[in-house]
Amino acid sequence: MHDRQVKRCGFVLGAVLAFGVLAGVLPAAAAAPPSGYRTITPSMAGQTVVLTGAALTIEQLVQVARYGAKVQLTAEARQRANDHYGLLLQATAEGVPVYWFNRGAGSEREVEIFHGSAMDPANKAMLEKSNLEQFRGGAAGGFPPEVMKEEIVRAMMAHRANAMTLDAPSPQLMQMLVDLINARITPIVREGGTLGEGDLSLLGNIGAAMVGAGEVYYGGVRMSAAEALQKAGLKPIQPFAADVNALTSSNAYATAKAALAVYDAQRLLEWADLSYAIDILGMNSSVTPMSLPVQSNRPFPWINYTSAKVLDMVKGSYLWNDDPKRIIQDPESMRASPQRTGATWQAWARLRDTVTIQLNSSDHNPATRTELKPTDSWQLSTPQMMKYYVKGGPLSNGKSGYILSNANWDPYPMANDLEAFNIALANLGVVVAQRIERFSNPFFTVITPGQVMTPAQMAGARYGFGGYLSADLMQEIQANIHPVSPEGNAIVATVEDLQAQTKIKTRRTEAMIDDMYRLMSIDLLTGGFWTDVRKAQDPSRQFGQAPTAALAALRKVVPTDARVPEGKNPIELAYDFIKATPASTFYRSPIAMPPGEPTPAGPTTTYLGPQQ
Amino acid sequence: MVFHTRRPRRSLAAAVIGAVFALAAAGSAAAYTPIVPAAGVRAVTLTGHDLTLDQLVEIARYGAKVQLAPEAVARARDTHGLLLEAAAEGVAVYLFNRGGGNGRENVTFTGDPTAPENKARLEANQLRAFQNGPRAGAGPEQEDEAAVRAMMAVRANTISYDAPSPQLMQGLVDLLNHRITPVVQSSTGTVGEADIGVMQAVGGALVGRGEAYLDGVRMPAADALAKAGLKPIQPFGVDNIALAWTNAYLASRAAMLAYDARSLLEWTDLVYAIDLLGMNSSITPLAAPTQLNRPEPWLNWHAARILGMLKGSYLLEADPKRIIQDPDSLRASSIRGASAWAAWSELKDAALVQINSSDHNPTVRVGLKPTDSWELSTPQMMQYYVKGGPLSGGKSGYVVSTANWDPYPLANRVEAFTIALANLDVAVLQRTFRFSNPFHTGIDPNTVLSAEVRAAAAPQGNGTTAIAVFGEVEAVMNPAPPQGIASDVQSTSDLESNTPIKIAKAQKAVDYSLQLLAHDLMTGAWWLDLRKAQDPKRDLGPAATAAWSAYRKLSPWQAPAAQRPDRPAQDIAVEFLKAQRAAAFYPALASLPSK
Repeated sequence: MHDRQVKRCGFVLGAVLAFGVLAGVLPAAAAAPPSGYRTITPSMAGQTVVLTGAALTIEQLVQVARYGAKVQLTAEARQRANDHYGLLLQATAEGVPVYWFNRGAGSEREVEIFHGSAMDPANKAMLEKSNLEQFRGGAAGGFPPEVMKEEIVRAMMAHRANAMTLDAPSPQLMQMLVDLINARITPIVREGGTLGEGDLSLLGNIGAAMVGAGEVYYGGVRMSAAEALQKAGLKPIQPFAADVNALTSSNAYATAKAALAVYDAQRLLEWADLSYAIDILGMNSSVTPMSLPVQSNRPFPWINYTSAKVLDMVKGSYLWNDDPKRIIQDPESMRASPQRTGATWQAWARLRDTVTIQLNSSDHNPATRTELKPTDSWQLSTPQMMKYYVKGGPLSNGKSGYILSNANWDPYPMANDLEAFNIALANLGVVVAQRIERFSNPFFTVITPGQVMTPAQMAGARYGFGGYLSADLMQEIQANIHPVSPEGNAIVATVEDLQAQTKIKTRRTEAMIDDMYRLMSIDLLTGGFWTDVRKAQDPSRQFGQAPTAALAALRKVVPTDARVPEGKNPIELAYDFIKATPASTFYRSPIAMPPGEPTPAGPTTTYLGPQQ
Repeated sequence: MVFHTRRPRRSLAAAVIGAVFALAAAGSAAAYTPIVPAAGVRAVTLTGHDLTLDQLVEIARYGAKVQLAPEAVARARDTHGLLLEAAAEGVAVYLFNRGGGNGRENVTFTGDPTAPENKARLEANQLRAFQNGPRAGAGPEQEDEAAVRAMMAVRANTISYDAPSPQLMQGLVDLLNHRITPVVQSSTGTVGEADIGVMQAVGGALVGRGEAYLDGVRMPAADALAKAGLKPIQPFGVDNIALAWTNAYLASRAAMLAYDARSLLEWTDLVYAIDLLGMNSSITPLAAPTQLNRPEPWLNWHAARILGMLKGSYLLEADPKRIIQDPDSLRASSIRGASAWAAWSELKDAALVQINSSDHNPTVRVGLKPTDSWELSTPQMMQYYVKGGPLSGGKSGYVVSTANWDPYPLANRVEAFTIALANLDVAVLQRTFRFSNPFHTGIDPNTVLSAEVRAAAAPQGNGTTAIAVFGEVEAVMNPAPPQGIASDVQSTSDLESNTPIKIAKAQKAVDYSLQLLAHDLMTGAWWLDLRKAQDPKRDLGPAATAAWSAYRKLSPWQAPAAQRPDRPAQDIAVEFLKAQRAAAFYPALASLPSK
């Protein structure tokens, strides 16, 4: 009887995790691991990020994921998770049906998996066995390719450790997640098979490591999970209750990748602003499009923000001096760059806000919530809702609450915001690609480099960085801007009939950001060269504090003369430079970002105000 | 609905002849859709900064008249004066005393523009430019009168920022108020960065050239002016630029898109509530505990809205046969719907800024002084400072070159909305199919309804057609490629926003989504009848009950097939959805979030 129930309980996850083995797709255990795994550099291993479940920032996530910072759960977060865990157990004792616990999952949603308290001896034994089997089975879950960046898996775990406190994990599950992060045990995770809503099999891979199954990287070295746990002084856990669900029912992979993309995109856009400032200095541009009269006539907050910032960057430069040869206006791509960058900052801010909510909320099914009472809102006292009300008892320390089936696993609006950002970025890319080319035409620059530079300077100078490569990059960007067609493959007996494809959407965002970094490095080299020309034209010219400092730093890795190391491409050097050196090194903006997009009233006023 | 008959294009030769000789007898557009002015619509006051979507639609679709606020009249007078004064003071002004595009550094005239010689030359140049208006742009003609009126209304609202002559601004108002709607071409020919060709056709009508519709009747523009008691204007200054260097066409289309999309989303919410009632769904995904665990404001707002529609219904009562959770598409529809509303909100905000600000080049700003911001007193900016004199009534300010014609973030917001809508539609499509499976409905209709009742029942949505409609949505959701085609000899014009294409795709997505929703309504309504047959005591809540009852007047639950109209049931459902706003059925929940 129990065996049958165990099979039912694990139907969905089992299907997802085991399919790889059944299909014979997964490499045998003895297969050689893929090469090219990128380990992190744990430069922040001495720091600790505190997880509250409600306040994790993208910057903190990156500290943990990319730089090895440790994590620590607050007492409040632990208490909340413990309360939820207790409520979950108490629900079974009270006979409340709980999806994916005493009821099955997916198409088995109405099948009773066990009856009575989860702590009854027979139920307890069944649940322990079931959980352990499924955690072990996680090692075979998913399909290649493996996730080849340690930072992504660490970001998944850090996000899950934070948000899991809103769900109902066992104490040992929650602690083990923290332990893996802090011991730098990073499980092998395979990304194939996730549909972008519910990264089940990937999180199942992580679950396997917790019980000593599968493989991991320990301090960047690949080995069996059992060995890594032993080396780190950790013991495999015995998962219980709804731990399979608590660990895996989440979009942690998509959220982690989106968060890292937001972080990288911010630095890209900061360079986009600074590189544009250098471009207008190189072009001897008229700055009127960014000035107050113009911006006052068009009150788009993010365009006003970008314009003010770029103006501030070139404050004190020669662009503010009289110059009878300065042309009344630049070509369109030069002039409209703040429009496109401002619009991209706006899309970025929307994505940032969405991802931050995703990091600090539950995308789990079912939703567990203690402390709510039937009198807190009109809906909660209805017969339909009271069916899922847990009155409270010994297993919950007397606490009451609700456990509800839901759709919080659907990762929207984040999935849309990723694609909206991709479009904005591509529409910025085209102005960057175009403005690079305009430097080749004296109709805009008024002079040619040969008119003002000495033969020696010209002989060593590198210019004309655009052309084939920038056009190629723009085509790569164009290839990634298209949204993924919305899918509704009705699988799992047609219960699961939606997919979000966030795996593909984040992949396109990542690719586009990287291509934009390369395009920006060409732009920076072009603008940098032309500031040299302008300096040669008039040595007394000033270029503003931030552009001057940025170009001086650039020149250390990409000299103006022919001293670029043999065999090195200056664009690659510039790319490495801007990836390694944030633009904020040279410019700290005194101009505040606009507030996020307007949003409706939050849940507190929506639900818990006067009785509705 | 989307594909309507186009008037056959005239040959190029005929078009040229028609332009040269201004043929009064030119054929009218066969599919022209005139507006039907509504009685009792109040005039809209245009201030330049607070035109709403509703007001724009009242002007465009229902013939509301417009009046200029005193502040707008004063602003136009001041900017026009500053422009003239700038030239008199020797300030270089793009597209006035300097050329445009590649001719940006060419001096076109010097000195006071009101001096006799300059004045005569400017008047002649301007009149010639206006007279050339009917030759501008590219076909096919814009056949929707409301679209042209919307464009003129937006321009009338924003032109006060951009130095029009008094006669130009008044001329625009007069055309709107006398319902003279010029014949314009629907293709801008300017790829979404200033709708020059479309607006220039309006300029033609202002000087009595080209053709126009007067109260929906096509005739020479000169005749329309005469019948309306109007005289052709004599443009001056930079009137051709003031009128035409704008994105008013795309801005107005984006605003109308936002208006239509709001109606669509309102209906999508109500039909979703009908579906939940038809499915006998568990509403736990919408409930407070669930929403508090995921504090995304739009999701929470939307869940509360749908739950409010269901308040009082049988879904809040106990039912031992109700399944613990619905299929994904039913459960997640609120999340997809909320996300579409979030994208809509951003589209609406961008459109509102666009129809209430200047997208013109150059920028003319009266009243700013060199001390108002650090950059304004620099030598570079002081080049463009107009000290003020007789032509500006003593007022000072700046006239500067800009890039405000680049219609961002609006262009991005249009595409982001289209994507969000497609990602909502897939949930709508999928949920309609789940009703065919008793595994989800919990009941086989045959166990409730007799064969006779089923035979006479109103049709459910058609799955094949719904899939085909969704395919159309998917076909238009891809963004237009960002283009940077350096199109002129010197490459000054090297950007295109392709916003008209983006808006056209979005509008199609909205149209198709309404068709898809019609199938969803047909299915959901059918299941309401079934749930009532299953248990007549069931309460469906006031909103769903009212909408269902209204729909059943057009598509009765029971009728012999021979008595049903000989036309697709989908069309009847679409007409129903178009005939009224869904919000009328849930007034207490109708208000949308405000900033």
